[in-house]
Amino acid sequence: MKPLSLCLINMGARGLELVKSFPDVIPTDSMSQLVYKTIPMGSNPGDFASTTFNDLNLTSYIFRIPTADQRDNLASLVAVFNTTDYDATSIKQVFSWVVTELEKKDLLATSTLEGILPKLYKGFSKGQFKIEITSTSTIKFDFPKQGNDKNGNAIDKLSDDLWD
Amino acid sequence: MVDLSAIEPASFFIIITSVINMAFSLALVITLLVNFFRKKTVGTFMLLSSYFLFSLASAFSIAYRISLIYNEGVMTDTIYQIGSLTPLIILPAFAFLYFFGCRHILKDNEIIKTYIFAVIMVVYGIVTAVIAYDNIYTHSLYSEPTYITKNVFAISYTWPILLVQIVVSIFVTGRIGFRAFRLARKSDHPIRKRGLQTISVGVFLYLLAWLFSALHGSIPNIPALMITISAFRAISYATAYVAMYLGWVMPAWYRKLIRKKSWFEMQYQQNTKN
Amino acid sequence: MSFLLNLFRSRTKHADITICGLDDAGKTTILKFLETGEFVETTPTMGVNRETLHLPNLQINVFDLAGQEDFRNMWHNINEKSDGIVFVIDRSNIMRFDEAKDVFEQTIHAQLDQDLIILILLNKSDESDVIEKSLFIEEFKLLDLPFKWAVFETSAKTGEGIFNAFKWFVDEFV
Repeated sequence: MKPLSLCLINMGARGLELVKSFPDVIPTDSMSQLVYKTIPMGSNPGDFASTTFNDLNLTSYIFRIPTADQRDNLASLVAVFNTTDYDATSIKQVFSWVVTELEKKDLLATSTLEGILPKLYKGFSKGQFKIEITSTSTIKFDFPKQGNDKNGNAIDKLSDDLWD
Repeated sequence: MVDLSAIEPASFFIIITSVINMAFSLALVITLLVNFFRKKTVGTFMLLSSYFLFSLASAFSIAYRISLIYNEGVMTDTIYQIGSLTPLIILPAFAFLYFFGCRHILKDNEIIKTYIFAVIMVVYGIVTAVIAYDNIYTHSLYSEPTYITKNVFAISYTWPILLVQIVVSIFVTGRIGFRAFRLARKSDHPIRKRGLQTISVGVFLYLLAWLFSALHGSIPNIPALMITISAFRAISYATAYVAMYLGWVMPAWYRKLIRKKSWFEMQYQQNTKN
Repeated sequence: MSFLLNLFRSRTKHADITICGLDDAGKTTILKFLETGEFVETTPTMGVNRETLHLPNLQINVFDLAGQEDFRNMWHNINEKSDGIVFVIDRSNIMRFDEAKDVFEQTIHAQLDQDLIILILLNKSDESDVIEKSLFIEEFKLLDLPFKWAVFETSAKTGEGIFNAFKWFVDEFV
């Protein structure tokens, strides 16, 4: 399950902006539109989004990222695919796992995520993640199995089906 | 002119409670229909279909009883056929409810769903064949009220049909109720939590009403006992319909009731009171 | 007949209001304070947040709009339909004062509804070196506004002024 590219996006002074993409294969003019697809209107930290843009399929995880001196910022990790043949649930689990682990180690920052993006990309290709963040900090995990949060999903879907 | 004096008074009580329950069930069907037009989802359609069929079944059961009264307690082929339609409608109603449950509430995988669907189809086929055979040849599946006792209390099923309906209702309704209860415990969202809890209460009350119905159709025809069970059945049905309306539809006023008041609302109300 | 009609007519009025202002002015924090009565750490708003306040005989839909430049283009569409505007200003950020003034003027001049009610919140009053209310009224030429308006000094951190400001606003709709 190798993505075409992984992107890190956050909220800048003007609006959403690309921090880094790896590999940098998406044309700049497409990217400026793509960033607004990755964090849908009204979304909040902890939300996931899957959408399409031109011929690309996107799955993103939206989260809160601490910044120096200011309030926390809104950011998203995005996997871009040029096929529909991928498991969005696993992507979401990997992204939320990375963010949670970095947060636990007090390492969640834009610069850290920028740094590990290539390793994360490699992990998607191999199906196994071993990411050295600093000389003393490493996060390691296998590709997650599906269906860890069936209850939450079921409630959301039921709510969509009947009430919301 | 029908000679009503020849009819056991308990019969009227049972018919009146059945009509009241029918009104409740129709009201639920209408609200589900409105919800379906609002949402236009497969889930709302399945629920609507299920409860429409339950309503239709109770309409046939009422029609059966009224026809018997109208005919002064004498069973005819047509009246017998009207009565025997009820289980044929109820089984698909449960099937719709089961498939609705499978969408999000139950955890049955594809293989289990396929097996259950196959079992439902086989059971339905057998029940249909048995009822058709009974209608044509034996007339023995339902107890036939005699003119002397004026018994029009219930469609008194014989045990095989009763058993099938009880097993199916416990299997479908009971499991949905149990899972909804478990999901409610895991939900942090106050409105969804209460919605799932209400669904759970609603379907368990419905199951209880079903069991009273089954009891109603199988106990000896003692008027006082019949009236008591009918009363419990009516109360269970009415409360179940109200709870299911609240749970399945979650009307705006109910959400408002569940929703915690915001700080500003509380301050404002306090301020305007003073 | 009119008695019967009155029985079925909803007595609850509805009003839509929008909260605008530059990014990081404290719009979402104010909205969260209205909801919880506490200071809540927020992140930048992605487009719009929506909250509903249910008051006796009045339901208010509050639309909290993102303040970043890219999102300001969509304010007009939402403000056009709203019955009132809350404009939030970070009174401690003198550096962005002119920008806030420009955005305020653009927002107000785009309004066609003469009955529009405007609430201006001088937020972050808990911080030091803040602009004075009288100076602000003068700088923003509020006395020339053709709308009904009021300015309140608030702090979404301490809760100062928030209730009074919104009470004034809500009472204008009742």
